[in-house]
Amino acid sequence: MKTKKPLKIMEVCGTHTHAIAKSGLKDFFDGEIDFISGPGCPVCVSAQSDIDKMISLALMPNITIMTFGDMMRVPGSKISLQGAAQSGADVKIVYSPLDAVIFALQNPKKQVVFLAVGFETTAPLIAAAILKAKELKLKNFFIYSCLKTITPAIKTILDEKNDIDGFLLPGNVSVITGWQAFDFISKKYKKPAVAAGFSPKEIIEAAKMLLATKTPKTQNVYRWASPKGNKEAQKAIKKVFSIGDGVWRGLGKIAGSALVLKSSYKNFDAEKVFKIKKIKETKTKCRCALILKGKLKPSLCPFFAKTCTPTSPLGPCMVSSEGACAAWYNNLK
Amino acid sequence: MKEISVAHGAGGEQSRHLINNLILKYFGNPILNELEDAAVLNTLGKIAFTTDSFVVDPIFFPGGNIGDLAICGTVNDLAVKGAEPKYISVSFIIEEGFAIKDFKAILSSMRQRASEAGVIIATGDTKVTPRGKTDKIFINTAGIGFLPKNANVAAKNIKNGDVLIVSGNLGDHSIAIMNARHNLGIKSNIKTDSAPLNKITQELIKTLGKDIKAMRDITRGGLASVLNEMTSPQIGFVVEEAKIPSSKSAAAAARLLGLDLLEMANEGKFLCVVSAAKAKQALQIIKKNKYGKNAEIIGLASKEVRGKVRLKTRLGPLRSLNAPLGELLPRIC
Repeated sequence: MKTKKPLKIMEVCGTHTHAIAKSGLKDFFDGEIDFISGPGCPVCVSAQSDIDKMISLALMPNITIMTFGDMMRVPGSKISLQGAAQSGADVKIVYSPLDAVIFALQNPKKQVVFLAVGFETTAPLIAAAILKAKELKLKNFFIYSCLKTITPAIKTILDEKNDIDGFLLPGNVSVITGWQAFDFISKKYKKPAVAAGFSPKEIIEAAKMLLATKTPKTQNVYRWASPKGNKEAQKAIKKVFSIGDGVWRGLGKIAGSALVLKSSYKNFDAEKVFKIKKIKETKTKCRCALILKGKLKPSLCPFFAKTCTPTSPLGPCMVSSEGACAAWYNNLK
Repeated sequence: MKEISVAHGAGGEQSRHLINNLILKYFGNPILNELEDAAVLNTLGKIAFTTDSFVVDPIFFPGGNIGDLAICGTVNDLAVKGAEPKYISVSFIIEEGFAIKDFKAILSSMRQRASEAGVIIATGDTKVTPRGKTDKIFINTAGIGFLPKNANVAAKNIKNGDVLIVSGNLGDHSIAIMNARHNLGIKSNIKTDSAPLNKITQELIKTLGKDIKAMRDITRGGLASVLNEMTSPQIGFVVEEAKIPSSKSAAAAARLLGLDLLEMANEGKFLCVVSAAKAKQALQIIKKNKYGKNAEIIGLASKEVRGKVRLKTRLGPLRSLNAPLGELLPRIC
């Protein structure tokens, strides 16, 4: 089915951004769908001040930072974590927060800080790691939490003036929260939304449903997701975290969008334990505010592929492979 | 004698003991047995000369060890230049306390690989460093190969319409190493693909001579790097994603880790660029060898895309295939 004007579909999740660029889906739906990237790249939405605090933590003596690989090259105001590692900081890449707990157990003299970056998908794993560390009575395991929840960010974008016609929702988040958590998109904002997996086949299926939608509905085609989600995972998150206000790069402060360690787990909070100084949010030239809301295409940013490239990025959207600018640069340029 | 000591590298009695009772036991041959300060080699005509250092961690991994890589890596560097690998040098830098049984296992693999490739270990050296100054064992190898008169293998020979062949499944080596290094717990039979490729390349040159335009072993940076390195202002490449061979398990593991098989290092795979007229014959020659049985024609050299590598995705659209940046960093979710 051909529409006159292509539908503007926001893919919320960074993994979708990556998959769409890698598989050539932008060209596949050329003329029918205009995919625009949303706020779902966890690295990209981390505030500059959070990144600077993580780097200052890495540079403290006797601290081992454990992080997902994506964070390494993200530019802070002065240096990146990779830069900190080059000047002597102990920064290790792990695949699971539980690996950081095991490392802390095996290295009791080191203060191990896991950089907790991500959404509902990584939050249960991090909650499980903290519960394990508590069970093991570890005194040398901490997290720096930048964990966020995605629905308040979608609401923020929809409350502003926008020309989004529909949403491709993250299947992985839906597995945890249940896809009905996104019902508000169709009920309140009258836009269609489909939760989907990450293979080209699954994205095509969801995209075709969005093209065929007559009345706005929130639907799901991800076989692992249920309407209500994973109760165990939700319980683990609730046990360890409470909901707080989060600062998002580009979107600013969003009420109720951050997962904050509960006071009964404050011994695990690196920010409090190591008394990290407040760092003022520095302004960067990066146009991430517009990029993350889907209001500017990477290729139309004045810095894209000129002063901003993956080797010398102005912001994280050019670093993380899930970032809109990096996906554009690496696959579409 | 259970461990390597500093005395083993000090040039005295213990050094002689290590050389005579261990190294010569495994590597002995009339040239090496001379134990002179330099080996004397007979050569005729042009030679190819290369060197490489091996610092892989862990040193033992599924399907091989650092010694395998040290022989195969240097043999393959000569092989893809069209040369017949003939002599090899081996230098060990070993950390004090290194287990002799591990050293024997490495020597044994090296002997086996050298014999398989038909190369003579002509000269070598052993140094021992105090604990902590080396990470277990580092190996440097250099190699000399004879160049047949009809070999003229260089990227500058590539012409519009030449055909690209990949000699087998990509990614196995990197996945095996990452699985061993990070205890990812991926239960699979994925092993390193480390193998000497010179029997295949020598037959290609012998049978097809100058129709073999260029060859590269697909090591660090993977196929994406190799292809980009071979582009020129006159020539580029168009590659079909669906034709690029990989095992199901390696592809699944790469997806899980958020990594790209096309960016991963291999230790027993090469890319062959051959004239269109001889492409089928070249493919037959490669497939006949056990290290080339999964070989496939994956694309073409094209002046239309000069300077670039374009990947035809499974869905049909073309996208850029760029060289990876630095270390492969896994994504968050």
